[in-house]
Amino acid sequence: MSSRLATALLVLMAGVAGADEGVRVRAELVAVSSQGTDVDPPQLAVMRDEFRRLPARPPLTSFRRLSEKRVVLKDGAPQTLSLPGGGEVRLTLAQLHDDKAVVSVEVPKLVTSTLELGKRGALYQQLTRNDRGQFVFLVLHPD
Amino acid sequence: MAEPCNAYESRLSALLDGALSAQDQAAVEDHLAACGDCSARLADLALGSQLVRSALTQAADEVDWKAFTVRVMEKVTPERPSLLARMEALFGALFPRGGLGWGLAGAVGVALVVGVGYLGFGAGTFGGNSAPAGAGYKADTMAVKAVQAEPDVSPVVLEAEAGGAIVFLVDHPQQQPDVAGQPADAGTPKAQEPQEEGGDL
Repeated sequence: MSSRLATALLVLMAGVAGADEGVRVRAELVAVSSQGTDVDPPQLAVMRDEFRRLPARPPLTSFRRLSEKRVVLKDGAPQTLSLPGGGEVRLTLAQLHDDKAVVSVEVPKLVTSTLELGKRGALYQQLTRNDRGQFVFLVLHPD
Repeated sequence: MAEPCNAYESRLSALLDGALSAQDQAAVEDHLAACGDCSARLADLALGSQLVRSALTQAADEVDWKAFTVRVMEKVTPERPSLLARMEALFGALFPRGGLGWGLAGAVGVALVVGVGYLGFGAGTFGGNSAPAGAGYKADTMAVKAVQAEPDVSPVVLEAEAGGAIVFLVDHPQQQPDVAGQPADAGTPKAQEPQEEGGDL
């Protein structure tokens, strides 16, 4: 009986710690273009390879990181990232249920995406309109 | 006198689709040869068109058999015991004599391990590829649940090879009155409802 009590206390403590911690994501803003072949930093080669297999004409070949930030999302506390040339993207924890986090990514007057976080992969969200083959993407990584 | 650009904009999509008459095609190509703006617009349209085609191909080719297999395996795999039951079994194995002292000692020991884990978590660096340790990551892969865009933009969701997804926004050309009085959007993609990953695009 006593070991049951200790176990229950431990589980309760772990749950409280998880709720306080918030949901962590690593957010990158990346300038993508069909001009040039920059991949800066080299870690963006993963993104380049993902985009390389798309049959886009002209192909998207240049990937430059504009910023990178670790973000902690909590209920009712949206986080914003500034976009080059003005504007912003807002990240909001839309739902955290059964340890599955759903995040809303909003660019006012353009797009709102609802994304579920997972252990593997990345989410690439276009944040700006196509400006003659140039785009800004948000890349969300698990953290 | 040469026609203004807006007289050609509505015909760019039709040009890509090969839907212009020979006479119209020649007129548009003559204009493109002399107009950088319209050439760039045509390139943008071509890019959007390719992405939509790619999404359609992916949706057709990749009916989610992997997920199907996972769902079947979940059905045939015996249910795991609850966390509480597994921890009880663990404590039972570690401290077979039971007792409050041993139980608490075990709890403190595990709490210390968890605490060290939390402290170590903050010391990680960007670009690390270890599994996420924080809350909210029960799902196996990153996924797009829904996309809502302005009416002049169509979201296109493509599955990423390494897991996750790519969300493109394909601009529609501005609607301009055609020289012949026809609707300007003839032959252009229609606005799409918000898409879900794996759904019809």
